[in-house]
Amino acid sequence: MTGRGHALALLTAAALAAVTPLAAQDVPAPPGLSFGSNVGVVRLDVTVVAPDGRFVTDLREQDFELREDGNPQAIDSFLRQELPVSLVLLMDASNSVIDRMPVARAATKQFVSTLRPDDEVRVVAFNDRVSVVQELTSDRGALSRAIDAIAAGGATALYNALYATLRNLPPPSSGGRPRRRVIVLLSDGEDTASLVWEEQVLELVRRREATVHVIALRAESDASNRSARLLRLLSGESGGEVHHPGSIRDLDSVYARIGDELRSQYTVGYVSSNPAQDGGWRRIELRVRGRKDLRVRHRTGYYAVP
Amino acid sequence: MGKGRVEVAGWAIGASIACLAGASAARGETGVPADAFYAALHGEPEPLDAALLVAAPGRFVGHAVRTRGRLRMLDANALLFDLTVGTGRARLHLEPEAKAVLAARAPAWDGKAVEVDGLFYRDADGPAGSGYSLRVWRVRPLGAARRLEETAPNEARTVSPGDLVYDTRRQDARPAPSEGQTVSVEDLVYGAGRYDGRLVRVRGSFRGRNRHRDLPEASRRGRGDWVIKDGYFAAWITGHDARGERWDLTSSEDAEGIVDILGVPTTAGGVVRIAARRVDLALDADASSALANPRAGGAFAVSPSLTFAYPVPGEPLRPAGRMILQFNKPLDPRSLESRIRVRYEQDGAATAAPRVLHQYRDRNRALVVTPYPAPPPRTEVVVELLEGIIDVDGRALLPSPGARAPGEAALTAGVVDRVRFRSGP
Repeated sequence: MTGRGHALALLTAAALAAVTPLAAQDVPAPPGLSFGSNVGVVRLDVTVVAPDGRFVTDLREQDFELREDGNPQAIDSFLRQELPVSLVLLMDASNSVIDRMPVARAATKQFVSTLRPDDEVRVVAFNDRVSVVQELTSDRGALSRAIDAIAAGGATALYNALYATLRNLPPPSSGGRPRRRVIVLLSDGEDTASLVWEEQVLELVRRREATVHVIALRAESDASNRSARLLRLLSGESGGEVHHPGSIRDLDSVYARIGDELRSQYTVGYVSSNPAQDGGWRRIELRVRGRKDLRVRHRTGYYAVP
Repeated sequence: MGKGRVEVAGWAIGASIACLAGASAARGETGVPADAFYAALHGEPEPLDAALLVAAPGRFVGHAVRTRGRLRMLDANALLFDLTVGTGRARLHLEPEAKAVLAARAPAWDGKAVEVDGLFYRDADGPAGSGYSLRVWRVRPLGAARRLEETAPNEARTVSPGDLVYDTRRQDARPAPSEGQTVSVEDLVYGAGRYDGRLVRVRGSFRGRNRHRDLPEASRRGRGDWVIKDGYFAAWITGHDARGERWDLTSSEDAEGIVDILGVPTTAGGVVRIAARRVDLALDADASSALANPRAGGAFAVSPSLTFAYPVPGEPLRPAGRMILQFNKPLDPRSLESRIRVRYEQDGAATAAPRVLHQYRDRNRALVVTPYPAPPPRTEVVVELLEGIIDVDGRALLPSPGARAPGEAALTAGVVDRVRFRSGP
């Protein structure tokens, strides 16, 4: 079997596993199953947004046009089903958000309660240190207690927290079933204490298959250029979005929109026509044919590493 | 930057340190070179032919590189530079070490060949058509620029990161007395850099050349630097001598004097430095009462503890085995001596107790620990911090939440904190 053929076989198996009901998943997953670029299969979690802000969920495979470094690519796998989510809630617990913490806790617990039963959540709090307050679980009670236990105080080591989180993402599949990996960062975005640099964080997000949504707890106009730029790049490179709630009271609606998006995504898989594994950056563009009004979000590229 | 020390030094390490210190002095830098810190963070810079970097930039993104090119100054005031390499170019973002050097040398080096060490990365704000930048911590002249350097020894004076960025000697006009926002030293310390680069007025007790050790002596950048204090909070004053009537940096009598500073602060590692443009004795009657009384609370009541370790869990050590420990407060670097212990373990059993080289870096409150020899592959590396480590206020280090393993009742006697790392395959 050729490299591309092998990759396609894995991709097909993964797609089947993704849409097969849980009860029928006794068949073990093929060894080495992965959507990562290490087997030549590139996977994209894709969101399509209409001009009025609605998520567009009724597109077909043939509606999309895929390019890598400007070269057309064939879509090898296309899913419109919901996939289970492995979510990391990354909550700023520094002194700068202390007055907003009670509302943030309540809104976050409400968000967690709306997730699907097979979705899993890890809760990470950070100030000048990074603490996993709840490991990955679908136990809503445990998650609620962990969120309640977060106390604010101290400096903001945002980059440290993002770096540690990106380095320790949940696995991309579980039981042979692919999962969407999502980070939801709730922060005022002002780093005051990190050791790692923003470039290291950005570089890491490019090397990870995870979507980063940022809930920026300050008005866009208030954020310093540097932090606003980082948050914008961070979400943009990963296919996520920066949300600016008008006030802390709007958190519920922001979380609801993120939850809605997670249930409105497509999953696109392809094997690159460029077989070189030279470590170079490959830029991905996905468009909807004839619909320039639709905004398509996905990670912007990947590194072709062996 | 703190001073490096050899804990259980072999002659080889001692000699290396001596060489490093010598090289550092020759370059006109202060303290121990920052190379070890950046190497721990990004790996040793990979010597790279510039043509290769231009031909396949994507391959080197995220790597520490050492490469050569021509320096192009875009904006002298903003210290904005490009490095042109053949037909390619990369924007230079300067770490304080490089910024200090270029602030002093840029006019002479503009257009000249230089060698740089830095992190290569993709950057949306990079030069048009390039999209790549270098985060640079070291710049060295090559060819003509180097010869110029060698023939002008008087220019090779000590440069201090943070000070020369706001070099007051290059200010043509003295600011009017009304300029500058009035802030307290506490505002500057708590502000975490909010006032950096802005002209401010600040009042404090004159404390001479840090005679009372209000600030860690290791954070001094220049011989002439002196200290003001307000309540618990102190700051270095740079670039303006405290001389004249009633001024004596060594006299204890002047320690009660109140001074007004007009200057530009910079903050690094919790230490504030104010590049002074004007210094006046505060002669108004209520000058003393305007200062805060010492308080028992506030940030300085917090004990130091470890907040972050790099590499993070799940990330292997680089081949050299360097680790970085970051703390919530500046430490007293002197207290680290002989209080860092490293051992290697395999399958839970200790296999070696390597020698330890360590360097403390005020700017990030970061301790770089380098075991020697480097750990073999697939080895657990255990770093232990021992009793006696204190912060700049004399408070003892406390254990971090992750110091004890699950189910472990207590750490070994004499050990305050412990961090585990793992070497790569």
